Formats: sequence, structure tokens, C-alpha cells
Amino acid sequence: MSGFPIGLIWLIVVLYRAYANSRGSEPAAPRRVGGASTGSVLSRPLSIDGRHLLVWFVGSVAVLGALAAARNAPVVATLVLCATSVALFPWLLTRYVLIPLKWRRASSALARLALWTFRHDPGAGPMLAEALVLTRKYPAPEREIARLESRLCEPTSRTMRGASITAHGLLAMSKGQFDRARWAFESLEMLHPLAAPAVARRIGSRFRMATAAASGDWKSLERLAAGYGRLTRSAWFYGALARWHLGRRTIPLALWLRVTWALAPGRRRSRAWLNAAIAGRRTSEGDAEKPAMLPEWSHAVIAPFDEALRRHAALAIARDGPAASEAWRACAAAWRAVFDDHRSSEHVKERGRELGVVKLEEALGLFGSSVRHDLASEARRPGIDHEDLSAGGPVGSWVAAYLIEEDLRDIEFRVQAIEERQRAKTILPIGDVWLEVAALHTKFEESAHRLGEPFVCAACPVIGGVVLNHAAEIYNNRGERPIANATFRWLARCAERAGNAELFRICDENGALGF
Amino acid sequence: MSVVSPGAYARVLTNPFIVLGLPPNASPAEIERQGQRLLLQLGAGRDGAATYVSPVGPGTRTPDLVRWAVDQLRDPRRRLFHELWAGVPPR
Amino acid sequence: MPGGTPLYVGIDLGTTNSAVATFDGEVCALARNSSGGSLTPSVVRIDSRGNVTVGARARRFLETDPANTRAEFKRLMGTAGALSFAASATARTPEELSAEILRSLRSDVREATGIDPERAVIAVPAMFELPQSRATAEAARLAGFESVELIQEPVASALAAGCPTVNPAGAWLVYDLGGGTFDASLLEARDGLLRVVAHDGDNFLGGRDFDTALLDWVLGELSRRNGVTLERKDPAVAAAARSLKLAVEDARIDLTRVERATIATSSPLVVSGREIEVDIAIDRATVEALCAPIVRRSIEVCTRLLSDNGFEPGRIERVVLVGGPTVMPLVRQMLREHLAASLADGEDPMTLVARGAALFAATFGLDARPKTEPVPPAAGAFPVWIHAPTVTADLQPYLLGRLGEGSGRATPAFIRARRSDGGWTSAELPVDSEGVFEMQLLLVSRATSVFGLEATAADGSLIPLNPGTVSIVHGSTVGDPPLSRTIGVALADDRVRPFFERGAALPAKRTFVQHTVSTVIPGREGSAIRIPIVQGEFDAAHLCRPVGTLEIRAEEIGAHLPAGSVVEITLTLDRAGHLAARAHLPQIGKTFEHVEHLVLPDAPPAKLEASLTSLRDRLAVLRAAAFAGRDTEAIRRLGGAERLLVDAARDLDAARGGDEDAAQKVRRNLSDLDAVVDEEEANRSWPEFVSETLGLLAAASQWVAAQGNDTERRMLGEAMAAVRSALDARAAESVRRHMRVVNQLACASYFRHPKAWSWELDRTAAEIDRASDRDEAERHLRRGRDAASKGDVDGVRAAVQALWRLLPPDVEANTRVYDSGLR
Repeated sequence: MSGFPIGLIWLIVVLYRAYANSRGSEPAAPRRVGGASTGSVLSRPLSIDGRHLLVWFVGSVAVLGALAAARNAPVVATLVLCATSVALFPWLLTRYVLIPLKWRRASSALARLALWTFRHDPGAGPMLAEALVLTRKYPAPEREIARLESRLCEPTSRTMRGASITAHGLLAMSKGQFDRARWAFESLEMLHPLAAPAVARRIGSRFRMATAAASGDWKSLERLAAGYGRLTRSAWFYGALARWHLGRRTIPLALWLRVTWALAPGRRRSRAWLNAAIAGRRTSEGDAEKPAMLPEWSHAVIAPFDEALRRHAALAIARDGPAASEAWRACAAAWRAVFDDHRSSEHVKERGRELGVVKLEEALGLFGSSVRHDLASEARRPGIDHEDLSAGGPVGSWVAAYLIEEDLRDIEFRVQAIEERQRAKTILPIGDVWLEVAALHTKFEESAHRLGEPFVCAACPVIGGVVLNHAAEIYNNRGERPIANATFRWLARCAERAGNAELFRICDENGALGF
Repeated sequence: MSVVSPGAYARVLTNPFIVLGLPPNASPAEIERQGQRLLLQLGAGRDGAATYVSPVGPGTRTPDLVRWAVDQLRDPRRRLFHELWAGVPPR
Repeated sequence: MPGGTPLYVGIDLGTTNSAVATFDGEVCALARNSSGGSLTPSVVRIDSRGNVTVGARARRFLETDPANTRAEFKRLMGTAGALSFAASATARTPEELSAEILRSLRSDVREATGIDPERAVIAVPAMFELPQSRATAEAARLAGFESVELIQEPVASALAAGCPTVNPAGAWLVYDLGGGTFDASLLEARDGLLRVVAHDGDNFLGGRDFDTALLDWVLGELSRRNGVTLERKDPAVAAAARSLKLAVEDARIDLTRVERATIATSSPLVVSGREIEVDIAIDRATVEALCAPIVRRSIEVCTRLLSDNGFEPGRIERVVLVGGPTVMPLVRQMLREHLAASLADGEDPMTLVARGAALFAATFGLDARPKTEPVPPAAGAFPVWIHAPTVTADLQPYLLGRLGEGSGRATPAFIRARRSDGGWTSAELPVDSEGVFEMQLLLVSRATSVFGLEATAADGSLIPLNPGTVSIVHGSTVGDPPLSRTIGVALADDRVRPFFERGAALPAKRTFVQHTVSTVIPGREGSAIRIPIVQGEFDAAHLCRPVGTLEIRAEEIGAHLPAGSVVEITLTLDRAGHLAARAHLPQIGKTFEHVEHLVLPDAPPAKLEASLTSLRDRLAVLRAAAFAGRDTEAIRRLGGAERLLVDAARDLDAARGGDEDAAQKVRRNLSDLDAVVDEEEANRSWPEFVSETLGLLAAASQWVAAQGNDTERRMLGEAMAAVRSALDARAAESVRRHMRVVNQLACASYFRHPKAWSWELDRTAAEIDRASDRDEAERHLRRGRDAASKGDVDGVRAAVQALWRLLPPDVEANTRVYDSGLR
């Protein structure tokens, strides 16, 4: 019975994966006011059904039988094991064998059998598998991508759910449209846990974490990794990476970082981050990276302009992430010192008079305005959030107000576009309809994170009415209930943050209708 | 001089004084002469003239950029603006 | 570089007269035409056989054959319409007519110098709009020029006036009163560099208006004497008025020399069958009285130009007079009175512009000679490329040289420059490893310096160079010609994204990233991305003038494009008025390029009439409000606007009589008027807006204080602070945004009041007529009232919300300015 221990280990691994599959996929449930629960009035029960049970039962019997007969009839046993693997774990095979081999049709066919994996989005498995294959092909095969996209948007009895959205995102990525990919992947968080397969969520969250790591936004990365769930390898690695960079002492060992990296998928690409992190730790003593030297000027500059200009240049070349955040704060403080200093302003006015500038006050006002606009433009970089803005004094609050205005204007335009389209009764493919809402969601959340509560309060009335009607229309007229439900849930969260009880009530009620 | 921000990097990199490699107290004649000289060098394909040093790193000179820089410094108002960004020297 | 003396050609394409000048590096001369004059009248005639006559010969027919002779088409440049010629049954656009004149000038140069010029500089009025500049460049192309640069007329005249002076310094004003346009330019001269500070002017003010004023007076006199009513707008009179006009013009010119003159036509006028003798005596005083208001308008423009740029009239060093009408003593007298400046005399005001344009061509090195084959180097001569300025104000300019391929000959190792007059020799400078040498030369002040280059090899032997000499002129130069008006793209929310600021140096190129506003769907009619390009200094796009539109139709895009897609727009503007627009859509990876066919919008009298009426109404409202409020400042400002309105009305009459030029003028004036009235209305309505907002804030804070919770009170406080700061900054849009939050908070608190829904029920009941389904609405209303009587708040709320769904929403039709598809 030498095969038995191996078989046991294998069975344990497989059961563990099934467990992780069903548990690790739920995002943290949002806090609710009024105690409305998440899924108590769903119209469909949990999706274990007879087919799954039958397959497992037969499969388990076959496996045990094969293991028992391993020594006696190895060939048959092997064949039986293979067949049952295919039947029990079609997705594993697709994901780790067929997709890396880039066999599009085979992956699609096998993914059709993955009923359990795609129980939350039946029918979308083949297309997700195809999308994964197409992203690996280089250069991107345009015709095939276009064909898959139109198939995704075909009106069928199937509604658009997590796997379809993820497929859209992957196709956008292979076309190089990273904006659209980001909207699609970030929109997965809107969906109800039972409307998106765990596979789709994993892919989406890996993309988001990789993007955050690439731009050096460690705070967001930590948040994402923690929010996603602790039982996935990517989240382990990225979480550890983020905590490492932020200097948290919970995971001090470099070994742990290496281990999680080795376990996580996508090793080739994340190796660079691993090395950078460990190298950074070796050269510096403290937790944070050592501040870079301030740029030098080739001639003497009057104080306090010299400090401000140096800080401005330092901000320009600072790396995204905590370095940019620190540089921004320092720059804002330095310019505040300049604006407060009377002696240097007299000096400047004198120089203006020397040059023969007319309307001197206006000209100096223009300079101050240019400083503020530069700071506002830099404040959009990843790593700078509303804490930095509020620490910036009057300049910081000007920048915050300015960014709120700009972002509100952007949101207004997007909402207006949705409204116009509704009024004109234009029918778009459902993928594009969802991506429009997803773009709005991304923009909103990004601005909310950067600008905090004032933005949310001001933006909520803008999006409330129109998006609610839009979602209702999708629900009623187009029958795409899961994504409409997702929109209701998101709006309810927004309304809650903005303190809009009426809107919250309506959205909560609509959300409770389920899909 | 509109208030559209080019970003901090472009702001420092494309400051006319820095592009021309002159201090902020350069005289108008010096500015014209340096501009002419750089244009001639760029026209002749001199390698040294094509890059310049700035506090945020090296930049590339093109004839259009040099002409723009010289023109910006002719108007007193714009010159004051650029002097402030290049760093007004103390007396 | 072709050897021999260079030829630089400058052209003044005037409304009444045109001229062409040549400059060879030393002497600037005017090219005479076939009649022997240096001025060629801008008149074109096409006879029945299709032969084209230009100039003085054509002008003779202006009176006798007006249907086939056209003059003063410069003001129509850039419009789309063509002028018809009856006898040959053809029509020509203004560009084609200008091309005829340019062709004639070109052959004059060929006669004078033996060279057919390929390149030239043409002077255009400083305030020419982009379509007009483009039309000028197009005319040059039609005339056979390979390439052309445009320069503003005042800059050209300043350059010509400045050249002979030893050391021009200080502020100059160029007063250019031409046949059709008036330009005032403020320049500053320093260290030999002429810099344009600002332009101002009026595209519809010139000698022609003097003639029009005199004409009106003459018609008045004739009416009085003959007991008929003769008015310019009467089409029957228009025909006769042409011959009168010529007589009037001649008389006006005579009166600059003598005190009295007579206006008489060779044959009597025929109006509606009646013969009217024309023999009217006129004296200088009358002319001056008639022309004084026009001259005063031009001086107003000058004083405005000075004050806008912080110059007092006393600071002007010199006033340069350009244009025929400036010889009138009245003009000089009024200028001396108002500007207290010394007038530059001794220059022929009619030819300054052409000469300045030729000098400008030299500054750019725009040689008019055809590019010849490079002369094969003489045996033993080493080829070298010389880079040096042609004209410079710097007495010690740099020169750069790059050695070419020697093909086996000994390579020069040292270079020396020797000035031909023997006054200066450079040191011996080494050639570096790249084959480049750089040296600083010393010029002769205010003259042309010729330098001979001597090269020696490493062994000391002399090597002749090809070319062996360099010629540099020391004189005034002008900076790159600046743009006269800001050019930008109009965005959907009535804002403008400026691409090229006023005063920016040309050529210029700029790229901005914008986003689309609506979804573009191929196959849907009218679905396109429109990128309107506008010109003007206003923040509001609708006050700026449209210059052209880049339209990307849905079919060209292929796939449908969702709203919010990125559009990268690049605008390129060159000195010849060519505006190239390019839009790149990264989402679909396509780029759309158009060279703008810029055309001035047409001005049908009906449309102008409508604008005029609406402006009149708006002005009336403002006037009434100003009087009621006893706002003297506003009354004064409105007075100026009303004068513009009267002028516009009068010109509209002439436009109805077929005067295309007057129609364009009315369009321009109404557009300016629109801006003034807009500003006044904004000023008026702001205090009302403020008080309305504060009232709403007060009501909101009452409700929230009474019914709201702590969070809501705090949020209201923050929102109110934001509203107040927006009010201080006069940002109406921002105020509206934050008021939305305030409203929402107020509503939330309001509806907590037990009676609130009942009040809403009553209010909605009053509007029940607008419901889409009246019966349904009645039913809901009844249910609501039942619920109210029972005290069932939820029932009342349900009923009210059902009613709301039946009432039509208040939809604000969002008309986008110029139909812009961008934000």
C-alpha cells in the first residue's frame, strides 16, 4: 500500500483547496446601519446540488479503489486516477496545465466541466479560460479577442456576473487598455459574494495588488491584502510585502517574505519587488527608506525660496508611494513658509519694479497660483491621501478643495453621460454598460480615498438619483440582475457614508430583492 | 501663462533660464546671444548642445524649445515669473 | 548655400494699394510696376474674354464697369463667398483675387531683379483672425510662391522706421490707418531688439470710413438740394454711389493739400430715372468735422492699448504713422493733442510696410531665389556648412561651421576669420574632433560686414573653403511674431482650454489630454466627436469666436467609444496662419489629422437681425435696472454699448443693401456687444444670486437644527463653509455644487417632521395637471388624503412618491456650446 500515504496527502490537499475555494472568496461584509443582513432574502439557495454530490461520490469511490489497486494494476489505476482528476478537478487542470500550454479550445472545453468552480457564474467558465489563454499570447490576437468580446456580450439566458466581468478585464489588459482592465477588476468588489466565483475574484485582486505594488502604494496594498482574505497565497505575499515596506514589526523575518513569494503565483514578475524590498532593508538601518539628498541649485537663491524650490524639485523626482507623500508634505510646508515671509516678498517686488513689470500684484498672484496648481497636480500621485492634504495647512486645504471641484466635475460629466444615454434610449452591449458604471465606481472610490468625507458628501447627491434609476432600468428592462444588485449595494454604502438616510433606505431595499 | 499645471517635473525642467543654462540675473543681450549660439550649435548638430543639466535631471534641447525660452524671457512679466521659478538670487 | 547676393522680398497687400519691396542685404528698394508707380491699387478686373487686369488700369474701370471690377476685397478674406463677374460669368473668391494682385507684384520683382521670387514675407493686419491669415497664405500659394511667412503690419513698419536710426530705444506706438483696417501696436525697443508689447485695432476702421462719412454727407446735401431722399442703403442709390465715392475720395485727398475742393462727377447721377447734377463745394473744415469722430475712435483704441499695458501717453518715444490716410493734417493734429508724442517724419507712410516686410525676410533668412543645384566645389576647395545669423542686433555674434566630406583632400585644422574692411581679424581657432568650429565675430555697427574664412591644414598650408565668405548685417531685429489672440478648444461646459496664449511666439505646438463627453455610436446619425477651436480672451467659450471644428465622425472611429474616453489633441500653428489639428484616441489607437479649412462664419442678414433684436432687449432690461438702482457706472458702460448697437443697426441696413463687408462688420460688432452685455448681466445677477443662496442656507440651517442629528449638523456646517468660500471667490458653479449637499441635508431633516409628507401631498396636488396619467394620479391622491386623515405617515409618503413618478421631471436641456464633445 505504498500509494496510500501519497494518496492521502493528495486528498488532504484537494479537500483543503475546496475549502479555500468556498471560504476565501468572501470580501469583508460591509458594516450595516439598521441591521439589514447580507443574503437572507436571496431568491436562490446555495448552489450545492445533486450533480456535484454525485460526481464527488463516484469520484471518491474511484480514487480509493484506484489507490487500493495501485500495486496490482498500475496502468488501470493510473487511468482511473486521471479520469477522476478530470472529473473532480477540471479547473485545476485547466488552470495549471492547459492554460499555460495556451491551448485555447481544450481549456474552453475542459472548463465547461468545472461546475463547482463556476457555480456562482454558470456558463462563464469556458470564456474565462479562453480569456486567460489569450492574455498569454503575444502579440495579442486581435480577431480572436474581438470575437470573444462579442460572445461575452451576447444576450443569452446567462446574466453578467463575476467571471464575465473578469474576462472583460483580461481582454482589455491584453489589448493594452489598462484603464478598462482596472475598472473591470475593481468593480468585482461591488458584486455580491454569491455572484462572482472565487477564481474571478482572485484574478481581479491579484491585478489590483500587483498594480498597487508597482506604483509603490503600500498603504493601499496592505488594505487590499487584508481585505481580500488571508487564505490565498497572493494575499500572503503582497500583505507581507506591504507590511515590510511600511515598517510594521509583525513580520520581521526576510525568510517569511521569501517563503510567501515562493508560494505565490506569478513569481517571475514579483521577483523584482522581492529583491528590491530585501535590498532596501539591507542598506538602511531604520524602517523607512533613507530620504534622498535634496537637489542642488547652481546659484545662490534667496531664502526661503531656496528650500521651497529644492523641495519642489525633490517632489518632482520622488518615487510614488510613501516617498512622494513625505516629499509633498515637505514641499507644502516649504511653500507656506515662502508665502508667509514678508521680507522676501518685498525683495521680489523690488525685482519686479526693476524689470518694469506692470500690474505687479497680479503677476505675483499668478506665481502663487502656479505653485498651488503644481501641488494640486502632484497630489494626485499614488501614495498621497487626505491625511497629507490636511497636514498641508492653508495650501493643503486649497489643494483639497480644488481637487474636490475637479473630481466632482469629472463625476458630474460621467453621470451626465449615463443620463443622456438613458434619455436617448441608446442600447449598448452590456459589457460597456457595466464598464461605464465601473469607471464611475473607480473614480469615486479613488477620490473618496484621497479626499475623504467632504468629497463623499458632495458627490453622493450627484450620483444618487441617476445611477439608481440606471440600475433599476438594468434590473427591470434588461434583466441583468446581479450587476444591478451590485450597483444598489454600492450606492447603499455611499449613501451610508454620506449620511443620506433616504437614499440608503431605497438602495438597501432594492439590494434586498436579490438576483 | 495660464494656470494649467505642467507638473512639478516639467515646471523645473523647462524653466527658460535652466534650458538656456543662464543665471536669473542674465542681461537681455546675454540671453539673446546665448539663444543664438545654442540655435547655431543645434543646427550644426553639436552633441554637447543637445542636452542640458537641471535640478531634476538632464533635459533635451530642441530648436523650438530654445526659441520658446528666449521669447519667454523678453516680456518683463513672464521673465519675473520664470526668475521666481529659477530662483531669485539675493542682493 | 547658393552664392551671390541674396534677395529678400516683402509684400504689403493693402485694402486700397499694394506694394512690394526687395532687400539685398544693403539696400531696400521698392519694385516699380508696369505703370511706373511703386503702389499698385488693389483692384482686379475681368473682362468678357476672361482677361484679368490688375492695378491702376483696372481702377479706371471701377466707375464705368463696376460689375466686372472689384476693389477692397481684403476685408472679405477668409469668408466663404465668391464675388461674381458678370461679363465673363465667373466668380472668384477673395483669395483668388488677392492671388492675381500677388502674381502681378511677383512679375514686377522679376522685371526689376531678373529673379522669379519663390519665397516672400507678406504683411497682414495684426488683428487678422486666423481664417483671414490662412486665406492670405493660400492666395500666395495660388500666385506661385513656394512658401510664405506672415508678419504683422505694424511690426514691419516699426522695423522699417527703426532701421536708419542710430540707437532706437524706448516705447514706440505704430499708428497704422489704412484703407480698410486700423492697427495700433505698442513696441519696445531695447538693445536693437524690437519687441511687440501688445496689439489693438479695429478690422473695420479705415480711410474707407472717411469716404463713407463724406458720402453720407454728400447724399444728404443732394437730397436737400433736389428734394429727394437719397440713402446709402437704397439699392437704387448704391449703383450711383460708386462713382460718387471715387469723386469723394479724390476730393478728400486734394483737401490734404488745399483748403477748398469740389466734388463733381463726370456725368450726372441717375437715380430712379431722375438725373441729379453733382457739383458740391467742400472745405477742409467740413471734412475734418465729418472725419473727427472716426479719428477719435482710433485714438480711443490707442489710449486703451496704452492703459491696458500700463503705459502713460507721455512715455511714448515715438509714433510711427503708416497708411495713406495719415497724411491728413487732422490725424496728425489729433495725435499730437491726445498722445503728446513726437511723430516720426520723413518716412513715406505708404511704403513702410513693404520695406519692413523685406527686412523681416532678411532676419529669417527667407531668400527668395530659387534653390539651385549646389555648385560643385572648385578644385581644392573644402566644403563647409556655415551657421550664422543673417541679421542680428548683437555686435559680437557667434558663427559655427561644420566641415564637410573632404574626399581625400587635406583636412583643415585651424580656421581664422578676417573682416573684409580690414578692421578686425579673429584668432586662429582649432577645428574640433567632430569637424566643428565656433567663433565670435565683431561686426561693423549698423552695416553689413563681410568676413572671409581662411583655413589652414595641420602642416600650415592654406586650404580654400567653399563657401569662403559670410555676410552679416547689424541692425534691429524683431522677436518671433507673436500671436494676436489666444487660441484654444471649447469644452462642453462652456470653458476654454487655451492652447496658445496671446503673445505666444510662433510657430507653436501644444498637446492636451481631454475626455469625451458622450458615447459615440457608429451608425447613429450625427454621432461624432466635435472639437471646436475658438479664438478669444474670454473664460466663457460662447464669448469667443469659432475658428474651425475638427470633427471625428463615428464611422471613422469604427467601434463605439464610451463616454470619458481619452482624446489627445495637438494643435500646431505656424507663421503663415496654418492651424493643424490632430486628435489621437489611444483607446482605439487611431489618429485623425486635419489641416483646418478655416472660414469665417457667414453672416446672413436675417440671423444678424435676430441677434440685434435680442441684444437690444437685453440692453433695455439692463438699462431699466441700472436707472432704477441709480447705478451711474453701469449707465455709463451701457451708454457705450448702446452706441455700438446704433452703429450695428446702421451697418445692418447697408448689409441688407448687399454690402458683404458691412455684414461681416456687424457680425463682429454684435459678438463684441454680446460679451459686454454678458458681463453686465453677470454683474447684475451676482448680488441676487448671493442673497438667494444665503436665504437658502438660512432656511436649511433652521431645518437641520430642528430635525437633524449631530452628523447632519456637522456636515451642514462644513458644506456651508464651502459655500461661503465659493461665494467669496465668485465661483458660481462651485456654489451650486455645494448647495446640492445643503439641499439634500435640509430635505432629510425636513422630511422627519411629522407633517412634512402631508405638506408635500398638498403641494404635489397643485401640480396634478402635469401628470402623465391623470386618473392614476387622482387615485394616488385620494389614497394619500385617506392616509393623512388616519395619520398614516408611511401611506402618505408612498402616495407622494407614486405621484412624483407620474410627474414629468424638470429636464434642463443641455445645449453644449458650439456642440463641443470634450471636457
